[in-house]
Amino acid sequence: MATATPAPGRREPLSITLAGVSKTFGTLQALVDIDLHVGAGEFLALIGPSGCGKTTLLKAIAGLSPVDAGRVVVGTRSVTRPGRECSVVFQDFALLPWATVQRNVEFGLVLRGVGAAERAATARRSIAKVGLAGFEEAYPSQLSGGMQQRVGLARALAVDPQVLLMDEPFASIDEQTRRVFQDDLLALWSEERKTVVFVTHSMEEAVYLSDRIIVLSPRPGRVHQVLDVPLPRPRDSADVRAGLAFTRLVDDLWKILRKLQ
Amino acid sequence: MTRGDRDESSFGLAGLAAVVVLVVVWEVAGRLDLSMFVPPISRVAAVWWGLLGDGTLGRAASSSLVSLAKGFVPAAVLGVALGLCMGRFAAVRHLLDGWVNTLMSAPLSALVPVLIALFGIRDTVVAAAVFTFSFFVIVVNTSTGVRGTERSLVEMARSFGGGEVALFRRIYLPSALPAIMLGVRLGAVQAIKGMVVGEMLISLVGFGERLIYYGNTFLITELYAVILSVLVLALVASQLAALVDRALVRWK
Repeated sequence: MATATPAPGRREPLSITLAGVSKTFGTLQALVDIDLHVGAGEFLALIGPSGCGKTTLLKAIAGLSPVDAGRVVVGTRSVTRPGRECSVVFQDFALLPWATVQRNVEFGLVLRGVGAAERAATARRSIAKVGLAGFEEAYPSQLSGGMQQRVGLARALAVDPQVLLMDEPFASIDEQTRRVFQDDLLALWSEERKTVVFVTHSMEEAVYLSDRIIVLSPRPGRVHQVLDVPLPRPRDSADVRAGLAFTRLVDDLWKILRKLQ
Repeated sequence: MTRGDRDESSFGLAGLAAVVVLVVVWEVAGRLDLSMFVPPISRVAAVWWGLLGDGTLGRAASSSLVSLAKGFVPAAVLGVALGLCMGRFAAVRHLLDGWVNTLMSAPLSALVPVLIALFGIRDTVVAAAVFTFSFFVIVVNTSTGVRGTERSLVEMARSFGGGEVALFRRIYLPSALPAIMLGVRLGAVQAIKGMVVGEMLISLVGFGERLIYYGNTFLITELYAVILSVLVLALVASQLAALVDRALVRWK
């Protein structure tokens, strides 16, 4: 984790606590009695078979989908609706097709009432951060999937969130692009110091990115197992993927998940 | 002739060729003097020019266009507003969907006598007919457009703290805009139908009055000249709406 003093004005990452969280859709029990703590600045992966409630859990933390029972606390705020601490990166990018990259990245700032000049400057910085400088005036339809998700990430970072919630952000991006993006995300995370909750289907991705992996079991969604990832950071320079520890962790994860299928 | 993706004009070269063929056939048929109902188009054109010169068409057009504006502008504004509400709120939709769909496809000409009963034989009836003809198609298209809004965009806006007003203004409205503009375009064509039907039934004002008058007095050439004017008006209205559409929905 970054030890440098944070940039002036930058907000410190926050911890997340879920206590006894349950959520039901009609007769379907999506989440049952989830207890979970995510440390401030931690990179946490959520993994599990389809229908295990990963996305539901993420939306509960985001305040997009209120829980039926239990408490979700981000920092010191008990979450009942979306707050300024979190921003979300969506699986399908959720970009405004009628707006340029610049205006897409400004969108969160617009909704939070930031003035035009500051908004434009902040968005440009955020676009540069994700490596899209020069594409400000492009429309989403002119960009590849990977670039579109970079816009989604830039938009999420532009509001300087303390918690970044990512819902299978790389699921629809091809493998090569995804690996580069993963490294860029880790680099950004070490600079920006955000708490990250990252939903994924990919075991390699979960191991490569995170400090800790939560395995959810399906129907109803419960915390099945917690797996620590003691791999050294930064992970892009060392041949982490080729190492035995990495392979072993992926294999452990597979053994856990196979039983849940 | 090339037909690229950008060729969306309904009035391209092929359309022009079709018009030229029609004009030639018409002219020949007219010269052959087959029937008094087919005067040569050159004579129609000459009469049209004459009617334009003596102010007949100008007077009819100014009356018609005022009614058109008085009926269509409220239909567009209220139609979009109601469509947004129906698209967004299921309760409103369930309440009104049946009515709106019925009235959209109903033969609305049958309603014009009701409008006459309501408003009397005045040009207000024409504006009311314009409104009635164009309103429902705008409502239905707007509502459909709103319902087609990507759920993830709504969720995204909510995740940044967007409330109902922000959702309407920044997600639902722009997302539904292409559908709304299609509704407005169809509505504009419907509005002209309503205008002519209204004017013909009260037969006091505008193009409709001239249509009835020339029809009843068997001034067939003049009749065609007025019909052509109405067709041109419909074409212009539709193309204008298309122009606004392209200006507003550049990203598509």
